[in-house]
Amino acid sequence: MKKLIFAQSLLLALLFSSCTNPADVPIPGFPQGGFLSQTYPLSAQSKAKLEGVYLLESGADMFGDRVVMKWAGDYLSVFTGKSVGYFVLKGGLLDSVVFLEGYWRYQNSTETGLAQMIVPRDEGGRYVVGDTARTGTLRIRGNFGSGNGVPDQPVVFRYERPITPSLLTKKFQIIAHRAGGRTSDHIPASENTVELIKITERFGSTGIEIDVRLTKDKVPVLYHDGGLNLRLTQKGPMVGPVEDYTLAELKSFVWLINGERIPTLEEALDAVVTQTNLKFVWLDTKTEQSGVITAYVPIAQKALQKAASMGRELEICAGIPTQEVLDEFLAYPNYQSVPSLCELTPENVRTVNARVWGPRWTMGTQNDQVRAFQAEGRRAFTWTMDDPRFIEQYIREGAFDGILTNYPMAVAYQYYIQ
Amino acid sequence: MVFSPTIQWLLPTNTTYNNMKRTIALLAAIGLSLVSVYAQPSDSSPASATSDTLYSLTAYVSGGYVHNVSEFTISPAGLSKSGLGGALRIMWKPEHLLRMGVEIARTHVYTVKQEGLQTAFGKTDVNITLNATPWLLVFSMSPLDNVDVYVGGGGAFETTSSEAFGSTASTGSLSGAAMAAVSYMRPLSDKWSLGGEAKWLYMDKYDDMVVSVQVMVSFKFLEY
Amino acid sequence: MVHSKPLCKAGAVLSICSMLIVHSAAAQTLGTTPGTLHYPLSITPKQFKTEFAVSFSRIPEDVVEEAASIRWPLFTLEAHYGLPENFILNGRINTLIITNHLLLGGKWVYSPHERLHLSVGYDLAYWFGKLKQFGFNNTAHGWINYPNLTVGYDFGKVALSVKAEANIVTAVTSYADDIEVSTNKNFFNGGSFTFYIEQPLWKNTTVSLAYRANFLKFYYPEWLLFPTINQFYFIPELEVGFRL
Repeated sequence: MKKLIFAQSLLLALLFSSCTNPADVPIPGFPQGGFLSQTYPLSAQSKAKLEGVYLLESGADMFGDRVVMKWAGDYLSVFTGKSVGYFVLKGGLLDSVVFLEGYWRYQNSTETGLAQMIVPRDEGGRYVVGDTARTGTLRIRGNFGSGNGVPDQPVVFRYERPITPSLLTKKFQIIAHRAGGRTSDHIPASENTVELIKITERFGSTGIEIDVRLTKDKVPVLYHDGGLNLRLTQKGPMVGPVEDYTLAELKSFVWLINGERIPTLEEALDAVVTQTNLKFVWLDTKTEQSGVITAYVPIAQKALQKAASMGRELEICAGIPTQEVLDEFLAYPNYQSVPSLCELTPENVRTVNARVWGPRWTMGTQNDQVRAFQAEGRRAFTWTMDDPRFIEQYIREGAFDGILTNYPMAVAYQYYIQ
Repeated sequence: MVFSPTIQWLLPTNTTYNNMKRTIALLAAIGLSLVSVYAQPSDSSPASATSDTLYSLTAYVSGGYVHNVSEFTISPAGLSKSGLGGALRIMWKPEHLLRMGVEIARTHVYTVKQEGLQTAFGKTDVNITLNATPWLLVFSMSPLDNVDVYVGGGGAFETTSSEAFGSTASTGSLSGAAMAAVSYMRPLSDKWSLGGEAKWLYMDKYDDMVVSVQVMVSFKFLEY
Repeated sequence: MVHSKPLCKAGAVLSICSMLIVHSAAAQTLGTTPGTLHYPLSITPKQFKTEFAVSFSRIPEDVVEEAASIRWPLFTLEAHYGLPENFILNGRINTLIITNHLLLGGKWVYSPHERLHLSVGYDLAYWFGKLKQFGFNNTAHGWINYPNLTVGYDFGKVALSVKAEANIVTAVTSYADDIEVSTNKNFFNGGSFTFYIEQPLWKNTTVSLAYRANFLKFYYPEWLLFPTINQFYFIPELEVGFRL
């Protein structure tokens, strides 16, 4: 009898141990920086030679038949057509061999792992690092793995062709939702943060959408939800709406899920201007409290001036998602000169002189209306598209100038593979 | 199509597997409980199964010490997990073993208090208190004389009172709540009892868990 | 990412309470189980048993949108109909208004011992949900299969049942306005373990208290919030039911 009670107690002890729910998806990393720490940086010309469309000679079951490779600063992004998969790699060279190291991930699951590749000397390495013409086939050979495990599964990319030049000159916007995706997508940084803004281009983004609210002392900050909650923040003493707290309180006592602080709009736009090459910012206005537009327009204008002084190409548009925001926007002095993106009717778009019309994607491609706006010098972005099938359809058959998405890597693949 | 997800589900690749293990452990624990109960000598006395046909309503008032047992990933400076709490519970006792009732309580969850905290916004005194007002549907049974076991579920309104940087805030949020408790009540008379209770309360919105030890007084105010 | 300790601890606490309860009701004479619903007891042919229940679950942190500030419980109406040869036909309606789950199934009951009963069953459910948000109609529907096994022990005044249930989705389709957004077919969605404690409350009215541990990818009551990451989530539920 005592043994039974003891056994019960042991089993109950098991039950009291941690009962966690979501798994983290940390970015796998090579110990001590991997092999790249022993290489030299790649030049801009070398990087450009690596961009293009590649066929998979090995690894197609994981990454599809073709991939697109494109640089975002020092990071080479590889966009695949399978399971919203992508690689983020850094490069270096040594002895006419190009080394690429980083990680891969399926964005719609928790599967990820390390990746390590080379461009062999005789399969394009000399061409990439030198000024010689390309002879023979450019191949990238390597391995990928699971988690932090040693990459041991082969993957081979064979260069097929460059990215169609018109796609690069056409200003199609791949706009990342909440600056790069949702916190629940297990992205490396929390949604609506400076930390995510700094890395979003690696996912294929050319622009971002961010959610703006006012604190109690009328400071615009980035935060999506109506209240502080465990979806976005770590456990803390403050509950209830963001609007009930001052900036100082939020900055001092609230941590986002991945340890960041809630950023001000000013901090976020400064990061966009000074630390990225993003071309477009869509300010989604959350209005549990009036005065948001009045508060953030001057901040946006200041950021635009700074961008102009740096020679940076950048647009920042005030989002008009609802009638309430429209009414507030119309009350703003000289509203027609404030760049805006209107999600409402075509008539509303013209009333506010919006630069961009933003219909939701479920309304269809609406090519006639989109082209009518384009003839007026406006553009049209659709939102929020995450299904690769629809992304492909809208890119092939639609006339939109941009897509807002939680999966910029999926849009990047479908767009650049054309 | 089903096979590989089945294998994936069974393999220990994520924490859901741990949760499964826990549940299987629970099943085994209950199984052992069944065996241990079955192994006991049976008491076939019909008297113990006789229903008491008097119904009653009893009010329980409790108050005492509350301690927060939640997990904090980042523990704020000046965190105080101890406080006070109290509850009012009305229990209906019909003729069988199970009782049903309602409870409303007020409990301290935790406080962050610090003087002269240095921040990027300057120095400030901080006093942030999180309290909760749960309201629950409660069930109880009595495994031993004068001992009652309670379980309950419902909601809670969690409120923050905040003073920092010269600003005060008082705001709140609704949450789900669950409770379990064990009490010992010694009868003082036909209607009055005095005793104590150990209680566990969970509120899911912010993953708050508190345990409390409270003095309890009960009064049987209606019998029919 | 924060690691939390959700209602699994509630389950542990409830298991202690259930053990105390069953110990308290141990070795009593038989009598409770005819009033139960979930306990795997055969029903006299052509007789009905019905129950009304409410349940509450914890939303995983991995959701894509904020949950509503006021969350309603899931309401359930369940009925069992006695058939010959220890078969039972069972039906259930679960509703949260924006999500609805209609289930029909059958089970066969076997008793190796006067206090021990078990049943093997199979249920098929159709669920559908609808909510207008972000300016357009979100709708979804699907078919879900639940093969199940229940073991129950009659303590006399209290009946304890444990139900193990697999969850196999035949198809789940979601729509935004008229556009089919996604369809997922023929996948193993996980399963659930439910622990029922049933006993009379007053006169012949039986109450069931249940703790359900769900291990699911797709959890229909939270279909609007649910993340797109393809993994299993632990979703605990507490349920209270009253025999009608």
